[in-house]
Amino acid sequence: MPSYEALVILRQMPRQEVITTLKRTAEAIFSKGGFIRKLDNLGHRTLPFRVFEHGIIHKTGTAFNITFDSPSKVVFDLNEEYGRDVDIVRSNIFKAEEPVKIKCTLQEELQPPAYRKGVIRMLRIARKGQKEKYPLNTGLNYYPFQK
Amino acid sequence: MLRNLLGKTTIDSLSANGFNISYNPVCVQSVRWRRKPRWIPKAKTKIFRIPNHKPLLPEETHEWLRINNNYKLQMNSVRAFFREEVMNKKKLIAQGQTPADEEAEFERCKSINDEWNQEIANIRDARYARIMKKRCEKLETSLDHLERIKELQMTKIEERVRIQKEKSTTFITRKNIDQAIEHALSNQVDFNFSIDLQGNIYKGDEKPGSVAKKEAN
Repeated sequence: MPSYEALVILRQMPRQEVITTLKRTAEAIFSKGGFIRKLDNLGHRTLPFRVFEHGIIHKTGTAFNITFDSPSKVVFDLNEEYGRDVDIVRSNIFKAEEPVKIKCTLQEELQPPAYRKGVIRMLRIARKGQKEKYPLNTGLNYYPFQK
Repeated sequence: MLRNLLGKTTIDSLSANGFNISYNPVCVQSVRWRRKPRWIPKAKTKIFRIPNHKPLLPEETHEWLRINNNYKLQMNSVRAFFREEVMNKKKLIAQGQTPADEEAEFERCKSINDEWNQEIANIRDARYARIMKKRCEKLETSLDHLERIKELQMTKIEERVRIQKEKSTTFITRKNIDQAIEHALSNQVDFNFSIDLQGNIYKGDEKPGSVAKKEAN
């Protein structure tokens, strides 16, 4: 199952209500056939801009980052569910990408042009396009006519 | 488009089975202007135009003519000779007189031809044998290569499964959710930091000069 990260910002609520909301969001994931890997609390913070959601203007909120795995078809439904939830100010689900393994090819790039792979490839393509030159068999080492 | 609709059946197999289907991958473009008709006068911008012909060297033209005339003479004479021979033969056949040694001549030619064919056939068979041998070797190496790739893939997959199994002990399910929520609410996580190559962590809310020297785990 692919990994996703859900960033949910809950409105300013007493601690007990925060716990119930978190349980609700987690239950949504479990009921749709997923499991949670990590649950991070990013803290109670003032939002960068005021958010008008479900009839209330929110200035502060608690942000949580839920890393979970679930079937890919379920993500759309989860987004919709979190959007309907009154206690969730903002929610976004991102695909958790694995870090890309980059191979260092600095030594190859620093070589002189004749030894570089890209240049060799280009030369091979150029040689393919050239037409064959057939021998004239005139016995002369020059072209006798005026072209 | 037909290819995609019908899946495996291609246009070739359909046309082989009698359906009149053809496809024209080349864009057909017809000639739009061939030449000006003879009865149309020259364009005003072109009446006094003097074409710049390349100056031909007289020695070159002389040589070219010599070569050309020789060649044409030879070719035409050979053609005339063959024409005459054929006409004579036709006359003989029309009169009902076939030369007596025609059969023998044919047999002789046939035997020579068969010899040549046999030589070429031997060369060809030898070449085919070499090609087959190469192909078999190549196939064997590619099969080994495929097996090795499969083994590599299996090891990679098993590694991934092993890593996930290790991680599965820390997963949060319906049973652990309460614990996980309590833990999360009591421990706040701050991702606003950067780290340099020596492992020094620079927190976001500190001033740019100060460094919190902690070894990164």
